[in-house]
Amino acid sequence: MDMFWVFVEKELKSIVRDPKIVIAMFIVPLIIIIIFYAIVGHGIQQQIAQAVKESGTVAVIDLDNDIHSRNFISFLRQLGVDVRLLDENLHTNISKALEVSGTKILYIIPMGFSKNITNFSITSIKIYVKLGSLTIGESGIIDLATRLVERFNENITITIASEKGIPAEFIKNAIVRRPYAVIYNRVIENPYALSTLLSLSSFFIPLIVLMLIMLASQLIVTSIAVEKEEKMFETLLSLPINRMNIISAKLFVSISISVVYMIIYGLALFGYIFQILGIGIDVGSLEMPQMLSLLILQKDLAISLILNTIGLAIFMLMISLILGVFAEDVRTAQALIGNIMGPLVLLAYMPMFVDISGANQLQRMLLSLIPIANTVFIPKLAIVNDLTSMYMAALSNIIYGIILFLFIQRIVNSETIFTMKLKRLKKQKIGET
Amino acid sequence: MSKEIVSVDNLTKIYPGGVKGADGVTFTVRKGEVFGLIGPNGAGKTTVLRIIATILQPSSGKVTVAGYDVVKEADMVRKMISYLPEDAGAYKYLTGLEFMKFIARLYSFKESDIEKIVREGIQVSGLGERLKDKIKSYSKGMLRRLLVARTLMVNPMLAILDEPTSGLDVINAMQIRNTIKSYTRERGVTILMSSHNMLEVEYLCDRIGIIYRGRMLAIGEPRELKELYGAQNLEEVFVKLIESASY
Repeated sequence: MDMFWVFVEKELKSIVRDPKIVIAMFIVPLIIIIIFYAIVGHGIQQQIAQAVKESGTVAVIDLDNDIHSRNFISFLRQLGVDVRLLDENLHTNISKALEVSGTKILYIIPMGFSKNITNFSITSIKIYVKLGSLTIGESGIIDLATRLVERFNENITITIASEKGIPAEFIKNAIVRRPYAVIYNRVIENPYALSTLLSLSSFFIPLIVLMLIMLASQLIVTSIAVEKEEKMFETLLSLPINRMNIISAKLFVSISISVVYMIIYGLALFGYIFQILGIGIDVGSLEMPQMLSLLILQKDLAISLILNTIGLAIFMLMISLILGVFAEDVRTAQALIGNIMGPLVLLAYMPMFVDISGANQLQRMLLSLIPIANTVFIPKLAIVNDLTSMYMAALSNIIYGIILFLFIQRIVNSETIFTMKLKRLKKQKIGET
Repeated sequence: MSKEIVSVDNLTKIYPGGVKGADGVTFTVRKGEVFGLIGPNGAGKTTVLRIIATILQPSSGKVTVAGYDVVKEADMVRKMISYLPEDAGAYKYLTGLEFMKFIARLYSFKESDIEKIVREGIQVSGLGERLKDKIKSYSKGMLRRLLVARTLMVNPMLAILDEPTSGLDVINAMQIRNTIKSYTRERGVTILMSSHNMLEVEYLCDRIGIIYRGRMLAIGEPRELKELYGAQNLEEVFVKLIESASY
């Protein structure tokens, strides 16, 4: 059997039998993830609340100016929405219309709207939603803007059906909703797809990868520290084996277990977040945007995201390896990784709510070099069309990871791996504070 | 008994902070002999053994095992040696047998060789049926017997044993001494060991080196040293050398 697999077998046996590793596998990640989910959930709820608040004012360009268009405006006002009527001429310049109104939602009611409804013909309302910060909360605005039209559609259907004495199903979908997103003066069709892209690429994917890394990091530092605690480390260093085999076996086992965990916790996250997204919008049941998965990701963005997340995983695991190699015992290792992971999670959490549209090229390039944070920035950089920064973000984590790997390889094959101990440093730090 | 397995030439080890772990240490270990390093705590015995075991690197001087340099050809040296650290442990959630198999697989890919190594380990340890129990249930003496067996079962060219009986009761210490003695006689394995116990050293070692504050004070056969220093036993030799080195 190859030495790598000898260590893999040993690792699996230890993991199954050692309560310390079981704690690292189940309890510590569970606590971290509960706290993390709570923070993220709270952030999203606040964002949605803010989005709902911002949606309290909408702009309307009424090209129809007839009974049912006026009904629509009255309907909105009855719901408590502040409606700003704009000049008809602005309908050719959507960006300007949104700028003039200062709102995030613009409805354009076409000519013949009322006539079509009266004649039981299909008509439409164009819905423009201005996206700026490209945060997950903004996807709530798209839903809300669409939902208001849908509610009006239901309302008018019931009214006309009862007036004319015909079944409601007959005129059920009289008003077609045509939603568009307006981003940096560009009008984009299918905002649901955009919202899905934003949710997937700037939130769910990094979050799930981060979970994988957190679990794998916990396992890797614990399993290396166990070697020291069980006093096998010195023996291992004298054996006729490639020392990197030990490290790679530990990495392999940790990542494999974490992938299983990632799937479980990832599914839990999806359920939890979707539940949160339904909170705060009281305009009927929420129909979630169709999950179009990665198919909607453009090729460059998808490649950048894949490279970046691979780099992120390498970078974080290398940090964990360094901590594990230098930590003197399991408690020190777990404390160290806990102390490191907290700020790192913030690095992933903060950019989800950061608007980079106002940043200049240099600022965006600097942001793209921040490890972990750059994973969340990538889709935002793609949308503002800053491909240079996007590619920098894609590759920077891999470069950091390789630098750390070379550093680890160097110390693993030197006496530093044996002589350097982080316990003393930790004690000093505690003493200082 | 003439071929040198270990050659340590003017070895100096300075730790970060300037502490000298070894200061110009020179000695050789011949093929088939049991060589003992003796000295008080902090004398530098473990430092010297760790350098020979390729765990630490010398600051200056040259150390070879079977002609291979411990720094430049560390991989080759590791194939020649089997090292038992003073404060060694084992994977406590494995059974003794699983642990032996794990170590054996690091030395050979062939199942027949692995089985042979493990059979040897079972015999040397003398732990019998207890090898089927998890290591965490072992007493200190049993663990040490398992570790000595682990070190010797691979039939190394050089076994390095750092304080092999340290902290053990008389019975367990005696069993381990007997194991080492009989194994070296039967297999002709070269052993480099350190110890505090003068009786142990006198019983086991063909030659000894007395080390103090990182320097080698004397090397020779126990009988020779006793004669040279006019001492009744090795303890007297040891005290006389330490006292003269202190002034």
